[in-house]
Amino acid sequence: MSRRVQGLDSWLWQRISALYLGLFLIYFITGLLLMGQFTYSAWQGWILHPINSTFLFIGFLMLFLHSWVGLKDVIMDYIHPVAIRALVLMLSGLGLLFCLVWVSRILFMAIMR
Amino acid sequence: MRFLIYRYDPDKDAKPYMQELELETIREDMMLLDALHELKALDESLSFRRSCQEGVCGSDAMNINGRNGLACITPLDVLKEPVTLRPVPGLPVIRDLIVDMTQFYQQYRNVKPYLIVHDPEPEIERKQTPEERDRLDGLYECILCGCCSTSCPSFWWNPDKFLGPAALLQAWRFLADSRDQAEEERLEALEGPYRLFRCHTIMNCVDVCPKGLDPTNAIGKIKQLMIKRSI
Repeated sequence: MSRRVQGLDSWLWQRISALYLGLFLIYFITGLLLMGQFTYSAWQGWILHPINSTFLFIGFLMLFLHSWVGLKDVIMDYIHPVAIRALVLMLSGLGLLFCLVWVSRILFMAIMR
Repeated sequence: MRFLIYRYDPDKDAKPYMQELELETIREDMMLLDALHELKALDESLSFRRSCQEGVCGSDAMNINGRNGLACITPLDVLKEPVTLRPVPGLPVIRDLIVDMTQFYQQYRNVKPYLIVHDPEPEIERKQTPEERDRLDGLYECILCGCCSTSCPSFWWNPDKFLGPAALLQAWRFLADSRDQAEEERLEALEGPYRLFRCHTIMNCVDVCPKGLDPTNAIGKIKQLMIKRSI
């Protein structure tokens, strides 16, 4: 995170990611409803569609961005000692990064199969 | 009518306690401040601030049954018994219902609550169109009672870094003023994660403002202006 990603930028990205997630949720549920039968192959077919998997991947990026801004806000509000704050921020950042890499790996492997 | 009042005199008391007091006769048109005056007649050590007694000076802000408000314009008959009175939360208590407002005023000072004009002083007054003047409605009426900032959780957690709703309302009051010429500096001073952006739109400020003002809306307007400036 650069020095600029704070204040206005954080706030703005929180709104943008929320908007994306909201719209994506509608798209996702519509996709599920249009699937007809809920079978593994129908699910796989949906995920494997290039547009769906791209939207889904951006959805996860937005989800982690949104979580990061939210977590950072809560940590900044409630944890005041600088050393503990830095540690908790770092751990949450790394945790989110870990999840992001993991989910990318799952999506990538699903597509490559 | 029964009252439960926060008492603390740092010279005498080891820690704060709640004192029970009772008023026998209550007149129908009594405001809470009138009751406080009568309670002070019962116990003259009870301390609170008040001045104009009609909601203009903003000095008798206190926490009334868990909600910040001005004692002088709070009718007694809408209050549940026992009426619990505490100092406004989040600021150091000087004595009883009197708090030290230094931090609050400091944040007010930080937004430079006055017109900044770089042009040479004009010969006549600085004129505004009626529309330009209208933009200041809902902003200039603030009496700095502190009800909003002291009911804001973000201000409780970071009173030294977050400006608080009262100061931010005034920040917008001068940003919105057609005569002010310091928009860039003002916006610059509000950037960063704390000064403005600790606001999480909790809206306690709007809920308690005795003048019916809307700091959350003002904060939103500042953000809009920032976005307009940065895109």
